Amino acid sequence: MKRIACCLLAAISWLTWPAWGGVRPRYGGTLRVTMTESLRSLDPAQDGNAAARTRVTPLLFDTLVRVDAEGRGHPQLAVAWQADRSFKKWQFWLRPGVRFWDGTPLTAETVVAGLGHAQWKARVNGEFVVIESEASLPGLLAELALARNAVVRRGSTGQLMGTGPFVIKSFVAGKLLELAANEASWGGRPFVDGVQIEFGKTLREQMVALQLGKVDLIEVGAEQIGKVESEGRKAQVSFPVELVALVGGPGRTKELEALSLAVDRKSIQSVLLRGGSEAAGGVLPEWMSGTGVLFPVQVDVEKGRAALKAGQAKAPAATRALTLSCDPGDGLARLLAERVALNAREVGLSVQVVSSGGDLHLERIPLGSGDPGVALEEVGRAVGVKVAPGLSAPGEIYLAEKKLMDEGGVVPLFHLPLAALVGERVRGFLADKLGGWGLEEDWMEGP
Amino acid sequence: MASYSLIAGVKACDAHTPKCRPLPLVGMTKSALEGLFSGWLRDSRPCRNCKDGAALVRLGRGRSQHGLACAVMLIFSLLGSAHATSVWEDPARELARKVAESTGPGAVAVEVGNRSSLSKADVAAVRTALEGELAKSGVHFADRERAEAVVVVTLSENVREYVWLAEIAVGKNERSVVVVAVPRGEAGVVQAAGSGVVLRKQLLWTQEEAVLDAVMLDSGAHMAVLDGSRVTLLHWEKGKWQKDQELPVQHGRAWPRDLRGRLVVGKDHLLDVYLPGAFCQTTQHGAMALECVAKDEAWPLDDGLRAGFDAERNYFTGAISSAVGKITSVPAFYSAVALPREKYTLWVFAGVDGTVHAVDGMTDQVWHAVPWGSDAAAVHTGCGAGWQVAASGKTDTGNDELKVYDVPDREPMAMSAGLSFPGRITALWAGLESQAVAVVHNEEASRYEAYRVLFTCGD
Repeated sequence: MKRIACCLLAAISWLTWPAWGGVRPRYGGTLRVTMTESLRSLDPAQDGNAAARTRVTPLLFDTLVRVDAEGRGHPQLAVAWQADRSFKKWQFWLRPGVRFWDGTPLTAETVVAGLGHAQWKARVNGEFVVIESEASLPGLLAELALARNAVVRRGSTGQLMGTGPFVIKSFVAGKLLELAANEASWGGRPFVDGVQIEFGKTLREQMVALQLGKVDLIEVGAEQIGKVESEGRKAQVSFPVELVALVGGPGRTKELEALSLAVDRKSIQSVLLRGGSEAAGGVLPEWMSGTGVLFPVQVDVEKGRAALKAGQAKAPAATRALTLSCDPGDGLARLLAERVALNAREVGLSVQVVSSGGDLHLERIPLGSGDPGVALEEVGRAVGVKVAPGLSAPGEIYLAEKKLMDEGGVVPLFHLPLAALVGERVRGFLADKLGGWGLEEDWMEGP
Repeated sequence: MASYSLIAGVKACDAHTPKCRPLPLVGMTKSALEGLFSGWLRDSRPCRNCKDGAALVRLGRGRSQHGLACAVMLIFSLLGSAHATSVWEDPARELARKVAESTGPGAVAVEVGNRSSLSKADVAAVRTALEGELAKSGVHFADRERAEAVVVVTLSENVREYVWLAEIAVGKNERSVVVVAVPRGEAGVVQAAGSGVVLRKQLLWTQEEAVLDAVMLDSGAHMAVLDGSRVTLLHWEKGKWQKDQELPVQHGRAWPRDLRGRLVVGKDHLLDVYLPGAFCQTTQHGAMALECVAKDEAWPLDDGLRAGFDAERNYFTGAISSAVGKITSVPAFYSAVALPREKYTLWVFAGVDGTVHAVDGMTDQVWHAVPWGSDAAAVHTGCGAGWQVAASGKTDTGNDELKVYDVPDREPMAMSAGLSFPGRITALWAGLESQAVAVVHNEEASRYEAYRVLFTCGD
């Protein structure tokens, strides 16, 4: 009976073979990647090109720790760490046997030399790295995990040395970066022999190149996600990690309040962004803060008009006409700005879209971290408002978020995810929830 | 209240609850009830696979057991309700205290909304706990028209914790907001099984660093777990594995990225440890230790065969210690399986190039379209030809699964349903005849999970 049952099952199962799967990574091949931004410098300490930097820096340089979207710290160059009860003193144990690309061993001195910060002091204690601060720093791991805190050794002629999984083969600023596998990487040699990254490609150019098989990995805009998936392709989409906001600076509180109440976020989200985003009333996305309900996104024209009126009663010189600028090379930003201008009329506010130097600017601000306190600090840096370090409790975060919006004149509009699409030969690609790419774990199928 | 309690007890694991919530027994009633209904309580308490509630409902349908089943349901429901309330009491007290500081005593309208993944039962329990705590602060409840203050409570969440918000409006004053963070509970462990040849998995061990292998010692009283840094020795006590000792693995150079390793029980010592370019043995001069040497020791396969492992990659080189019949070398491979036959042993190699080689001592036959992955292990189920191949593959959800294949006439045929795992299978090694150890990288939990997989021939 058992034999019959088994044979019958075997016969049925033969007709329903699953797809290939469960295979181990294979070595070899070059991964061809395109990106929208034009990365002009590989130095992690530089600002700008945040999305590209988030993806490129970890290929070359390591941080002491990595922190995932859930706030869990994972060992990188530090294998262990300990904080005192007040979170004012942290001690890090370095991974033994790590070497920079030129063979120089990683030392606590090298790590400390690159860890400059206004809020803390790093020092060497024997083989350990100690970080001390007068303020409590419960979110220090998330701060250390930022790309700008990557450990870099600077050569006498200014060349950068890292400990990451790839080494620089060639770099043409803003155009092309060629990487080779770091045979001595502490995490093991990457599976692919190399990575070739072309910068400055529009999303459309990237999509065409992928369809023609000329590249293996491309970026996908938030507004493209729905279309890509309707065509049966699976984009890898992060949590919403980018804030789209109007930034007007201090002094326009009532106009900005009126504008916020006028913008029909839900409709823009549905039509222009095709669902690939979240309407934002607050700086932080719901997955990070859990307090989104306190920042409503509903249109309220009456309240908007009242806010504008109240503003003019307080300051008669206040204007009802504003100019709004956005990145001229960003087509989506331009569309969003025009819709904002259209909505603004509903509350009696005239907004004119200009190419530069407006009263308001429509900005895309990367949140940079899954830690709400650190993300707020990052947004604060972008809009020129100082956010207290070490915030972690949801109540504190909420108050800081409100303060940042008030002081920076920030009107959050949307939270966008980062998305990517891979070609048929790529295996093992898994964009993390914060939008990072672990290309060292990818491998290529076939010749 | 009684009807709510009944629902809470039975539906604690219903479709609205994203993670099965354990229903521990509480208070003085626990021991008494465990004694009375030990069988049922043991089954339902861990709430492992969301079927326990359904099992209780089915119990209620039996005519002869109807009265008893209802009693059990009622007891469970009361216990479930009591548990739910107790879980939320502390955060509800904190939120109530903060709210009462703003409202003061008097008539307050309280509205509770849910934007989180909490179930209706949990939301009701939170509301009950909150109202109870507010009442203790002198608040009495009124509708909006008659209230001196309006409190809108929203139960929200982020990826780390539940976040409870209260927006408070007292008279015409500007609203104030109070926020309380509530840690999330642990999820239960889900088990699954195949059919035909039945596969069952038991979670042995979980840790953040990649587990490479695990072996049971002393008939399951002890266990050794290998990762890239150490061998951890454990013993089973009080229903869980307790650490005895960690033996560090000393090695001079960086491991390959897709690190593999194997534990083998030694003949005159506890363990041999095989790693790429390194070989370790346990020694006991007083305390137990692990002595490692940089050495390309051939790794043991089934049936006494050994094979060279590439020190810088994730595969066997293809060099084997002795010929398989007339075949003296095979292409580089990820895994090898020996299937004993009446007069010979059929070797199956999962090649690095994606092909599968079947070597019977005379010929090296290449199977091209075999739908299994790189990892395979020999298992003895008693079904079909006796010995089968357990091989990794991918499910529709993107996670990996294990499936058993028979090779009756040199053509592999699936003879089990897939046993799915919560991630990618990163190691698979044969254990005792009808067992294997599978290690899975659970991306969601950022942990590696070692499972013992049991294979039995179904009826």
